[in-house]
Parts: sequence; C-alpha cells; structure tokens
Amino acid sequence: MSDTNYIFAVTRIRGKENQLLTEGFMHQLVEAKDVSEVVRLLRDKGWDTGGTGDPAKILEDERAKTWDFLREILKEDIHKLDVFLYAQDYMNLKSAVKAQKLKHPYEGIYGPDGTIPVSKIVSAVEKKQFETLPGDFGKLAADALDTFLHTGDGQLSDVMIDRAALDSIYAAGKKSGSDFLKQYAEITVASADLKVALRAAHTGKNRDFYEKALAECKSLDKATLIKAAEQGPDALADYLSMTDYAGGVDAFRTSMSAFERWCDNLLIEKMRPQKYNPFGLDPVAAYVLARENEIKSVRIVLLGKENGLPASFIEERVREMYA
Amino acid sequence: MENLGVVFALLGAVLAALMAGIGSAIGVGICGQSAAGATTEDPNLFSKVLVLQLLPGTQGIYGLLIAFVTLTQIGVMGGSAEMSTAKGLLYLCACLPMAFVGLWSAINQGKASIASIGLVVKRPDQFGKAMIFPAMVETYAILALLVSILSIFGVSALNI
Repeated sequence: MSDTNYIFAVTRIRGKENQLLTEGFMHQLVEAKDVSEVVRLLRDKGWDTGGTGDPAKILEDERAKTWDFLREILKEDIHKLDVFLYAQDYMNLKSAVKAQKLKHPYEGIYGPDGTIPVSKIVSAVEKKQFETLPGDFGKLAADALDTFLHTGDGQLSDVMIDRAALDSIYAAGKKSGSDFLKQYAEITVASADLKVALRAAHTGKNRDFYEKALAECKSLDKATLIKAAEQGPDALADYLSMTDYAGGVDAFRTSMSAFERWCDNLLIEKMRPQKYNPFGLDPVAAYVLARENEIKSVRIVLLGKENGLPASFIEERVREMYA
Repeated sequence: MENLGVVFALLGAVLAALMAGIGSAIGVGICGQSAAGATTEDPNLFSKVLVLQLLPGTQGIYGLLIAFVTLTQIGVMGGSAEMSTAKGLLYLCACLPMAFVGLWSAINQGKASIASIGLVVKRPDQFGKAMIFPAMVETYAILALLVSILSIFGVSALNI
C-alpha cells in the first residue's frame, strides 16, 4: 500500500495543474508588447498577488508559493524533494565564498533558501565555522574557500562546488527509490556534463579540468566524453549522437542556449506521464519541475521584453510547458 | 467435536463480513483522502467526489449480506445450529468468493476511484465517464456475491 501514501497530495496537485501556464498562454506572453502587458496577463492567471509589478519579485513570490504549498501538502515528507533544492544550496555557497574574498556585502547575490538557510551558509563562511553546516557540505565550503583565498581562482572553487552539487543531486536521485527522481538526476547530471564539456571544448581546457568538473553518471561515459571534449566540439557532437541524448545533436551544434532548451524539454517530455499517475510522490515531483520550468520560461519572456528583444527571439528560448 | 460443522459455517460468515469489510474500509479510506484533496481545491466538487468515494463501500455491504444469510441458514440467528462437519465446510467454501473478491475488489475499486477523482478535479464535466471506470470493478464483486448466495442456498438444500 506504499503507493497510496500521497493520495491527498496528488489530488491537490491535480487541482493545481489546472492553473499551470499552457503553451497558448506562453505564446500570448511572448507576443505581449512590453513588460507591463506581460505582468497584466500574469495577474489574470493569479500571479503577482502582491501587486508589486516587479518582475524579479513576481518570480520569487511564485517560487515561494510553490514551496509553501508543497510544505503544506507533504508536511514532514517535504525533505523527499530536497533533490530539487540542492542546486540552490551550492549556488548560495558559491556566492558566499566569492563575497568573503571580495569583502563586500553585495545585495541580491544570494538566491532563495535551498535545504540550508542562506543566512546559515553566509554566517558559516564568514566566521569559518564550517562545522555548523551539514557534513560533506561543510567540508566542501571549507575547501572551496581555502582554494579561492589561496589561488584567487574563482573558477576553480566554482568547479569544485558545481561538481559537488551534481554529485549530491545524483546521489539523492539514486537514493530516493523513485524511478522518476532517478531519471531527473540522470538527465540533470548528464546535461550539465555536456554543457560543461561543450563550453570547455570551445575554450580548450585541459584533461585535469574535465576530471574535476565532470560528474559521473550512467548515461555518459566520462572517459569517452573527456576524450571527445579534448578533440573539440565536433567530436563531442559525434559522441552525443551515440548516447541516449542523440536527439539533441542538432541543438548541441546550434548553440548552448538551444541545447539547454532541448535538455529542459527532454525533462518535460519524460515527466509528462506523471500527469496521469494518481499515486506516489512522482506526480508531486513532476509538479515541482513544471513550476520551475514555467518560472524559468516567464523569466526568459520578462528579460526579453525588458531588453526589447523581438518576439521570435524570445519564442525560440521559451521551454515547452507541462500543462 | 460434534459441533465442528457450525464452527466452519460460522467461520465462513465471519470471513465474508470481515474480509469484504476490511476491503471496503481500505477502499473508502484511501478514496476519502483523495476526495478531501479534491474538495480542498474546489469545494463545489464535494457531491461528485463523495459518490466516487462511496463506490468501494458496497463490498462491505455484500459481505454483511452473505454473513447474514449464512447465519440465518445455519440456525445461529434462531433455531437449531447443528450440522455435519461436511456441511459446515461447504458453507465455509460458499462464503469464500465474497470474502476474497470483496477484499481485493474493494481495494482496487478504491484505487480506480482515486484516479477518477483526479479526472473529475481536472475536468468536472466528465463526471459521468469518471464514474464508469471504478463501477466496472463492481461487476466482479456482484459476481462473487451471486456465487456465494447461490452456493449458500444450494448447500442448505443438501442432506449431508
């Protein structure tokens, strides 16, 4: 009867899915003439309940709304969705390490809380009290800060933290016991590896960099990936065509943003069956990704409108919707 | 040991009520969680989801019916409760279809009802179709009810 553990939560998710943004609505947003029209359309869908009209605040509020709702329906089981918050923890750690070296209290460099409150990360890094952070994360914080302070190489500490983030997401996915979360972790790590490899291939990084930056995953062979990356972007694309991600070769060859979009769309495609699954945590997890995906797409539209980019340019970057 | 027949017969009646009742309790219980979720999102759905929640409850009623008929036939509700061991075992066998099918069909009907509640939450206008899916499971509970009833009356007519 373990599949009946989240019945209440999944039915509430079904109700919320009715409020997700559709492809048609996203098209309307893309065609809007400016930011204020986008905000007005979003208000009609229940966004910007605070009425601030500030794009950054709207997106932040929507994310907070999602997690408040998830906390309400999952209660103590909310930690089972930590896999979606790890990236935020590591992002905040990167900011905290940089802020420490630069000795400047920059505003707005931190994202929302992940599994660890931002204030706790900042305080631990500032006071060098890494034992206040959870086990491996505390050790990583100490190593990353030490590396950054001694070498002054921000990229090196970033690579350490990014790699640890991918490893933790992959481990959490494997440990979850959920096929869906496992698949999410696999695609997340593989797509991150491919993006890192592509960027590094363009800048001619050495093997040592690849060894440090690329995380292990089942769907990609790290040794072959490194070998391909060292030979250049074309060899990487050739290797990609022999993997589970062969469908993304064209996007990979086109541009980084096209490949990022392809990866996000792949994830949406894989999670679509959860729309019809009435049991278990997977439909809840799919809803989290659906919300993150629509927030990401709305951010792309808002940034595009703020910068006066043409609708066709924005449309190319907007992700497929789950609804 | 000469009254072992009635013990077996009573065991059959108890199993029919017990197992079908447990199945219905589980089915209605899990549906209740889903119905509560649906009503939280849209209180107007209450009457629709209530019907879907009640569907797995019928097996418990069928189990009660079989138990009642068996108790009446074996004389526990009044009259003489004496019978041979063979006849008692036959009553037990007669009650088993309702006991087992009642248990499993109620749980699975509950799960089908949950899926249908999800459908109603997304498309309230499709309530009629949503009702049909869990109602199909009812067929097998009714078949088991018929087999059990016919068997009980058949056994009572035997002179063994």
